[in-house]
Amino acid sequence: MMKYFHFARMAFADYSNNRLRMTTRFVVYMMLAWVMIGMWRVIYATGHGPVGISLHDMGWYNGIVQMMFFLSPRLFVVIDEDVRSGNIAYFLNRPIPYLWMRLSEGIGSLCVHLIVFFTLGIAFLYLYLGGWPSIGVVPVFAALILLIGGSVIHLLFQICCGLGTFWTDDAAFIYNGYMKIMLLLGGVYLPISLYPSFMPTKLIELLPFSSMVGAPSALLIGVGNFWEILGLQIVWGATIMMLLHRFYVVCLRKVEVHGG
Amino acid sequence: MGGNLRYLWALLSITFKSVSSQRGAILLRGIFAFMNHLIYFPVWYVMFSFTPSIGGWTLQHAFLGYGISIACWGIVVLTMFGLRTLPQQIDNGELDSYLTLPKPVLLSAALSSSRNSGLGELLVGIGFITFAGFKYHIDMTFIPLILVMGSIVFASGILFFASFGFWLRQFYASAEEIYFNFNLMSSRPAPIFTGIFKIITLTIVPIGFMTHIPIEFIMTHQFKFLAFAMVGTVAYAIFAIAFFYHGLKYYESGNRFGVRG
Repeated sequence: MMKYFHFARMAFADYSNNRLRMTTRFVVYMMLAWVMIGMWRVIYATGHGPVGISLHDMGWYNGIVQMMFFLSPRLFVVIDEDVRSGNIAYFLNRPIPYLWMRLSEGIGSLCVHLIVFFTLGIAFLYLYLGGWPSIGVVPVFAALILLIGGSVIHLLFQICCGLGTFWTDDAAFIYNGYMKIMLLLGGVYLPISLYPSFMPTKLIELLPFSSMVGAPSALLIGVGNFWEILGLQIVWGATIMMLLHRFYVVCLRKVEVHGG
Repeated sequence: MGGNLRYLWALLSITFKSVSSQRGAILLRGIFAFMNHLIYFPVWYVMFSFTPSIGGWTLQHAFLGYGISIACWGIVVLTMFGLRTLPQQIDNGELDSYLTLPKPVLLSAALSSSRNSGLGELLVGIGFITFAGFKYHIDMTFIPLILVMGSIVFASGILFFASFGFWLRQFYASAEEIYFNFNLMSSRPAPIFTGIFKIITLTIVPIGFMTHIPIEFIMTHQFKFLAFAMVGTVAYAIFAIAFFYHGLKYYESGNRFGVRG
């Protein structure tokens, strides 16, 4: 386990040293959160806001949803480059599985983002929206805890997209496809509880995307149960890990047959 | 000038030859691009089933905005992918080889590489715009001009932000983050950008000239909007190019010291 810890530690040091990347990421987050909250401000101003959810709470929902996308590093880009350049062949010779090495690096980088976004990001939302959500401060912390789980699942999905490069020679468009599904089924633009009747909301709530983004954030508008979401994250996390491991074995076979 | 245009045409020809040589990959990526955007668009259906409009911005605006933004993304990725990798080229000292050529450095650096995934995005974007045109009876006469203008704005935006790489090391990841969100925000409803954000969308991140104002023109047929967008596009392009050459001067003066063994 120690070797994984050291990879995570090195990634942590690398990310925390690159202040420019961190600053850009945070500024872009603030802009996107500002824009999404602005969109709901316009909707509420024209009298179409959802009954029972204040603009203030909807602002918190949007701010937390947007935060999730900025917590995880872009791990699929690293894997995409490794596969395309053939560098993966060098990593495979090491006495550590490539898959888990990259995941531990991702978690190390994630930790840096968690520190920055959970302090400055929450401070930004608090100041911009003028206080805690009406349900109180405890659900904010509950949502943040669940965001950590959601981000780890997001990393697993990213690794899966990155390994797709073996077949497609470009992970970006697989990742974009995954992100689009996330936008639709994750409750990114509006809470899943507000989806129209033609969307199967009960089914959507059981999928991993909802448990990663929409469901944790919905705690701030008084929807959902912390333990149920956590349970769903554990089940999906374990399932995706197992499937990812199988997929990785298939990829390894491809490297052995065709070279790096 | 004539020589530069011939050089530009030669570079574009090579790009298209390279793209057309990988038909299988293009088809696969085109299908994926189509599926990606087909998955995404129901998000707006869901949104507009909840509220009939966002400050006057309706589903037809969303179709046009999204179509223009991804078509512009496709054009830039297909023809000027080098712009996106500019921070990397600067870090690796790759501009040195272009400096020795008699042709403009910017042209060489921008058109030196392409990604054929851009073709899929371009076709899907045009598909969205065409669909909106037929469904909502929108006059599409000016769409080609709007796509060219939008691509110039987007390319200029990439150039402007990428040029910070002359002064900032390892700027590539940050720049990618900015380009992606630049394009993402251009498909967001115009009425949500108010106050300081309205100013930003008309100055340093001019998504207003890329989608918001051209769409206003398409909907209202008032040529003042088209004129405003054209002036804004030209001004921003000049500004971005000037900023790049300012950075290039810094680069030429040996800003990075390296030893090659």
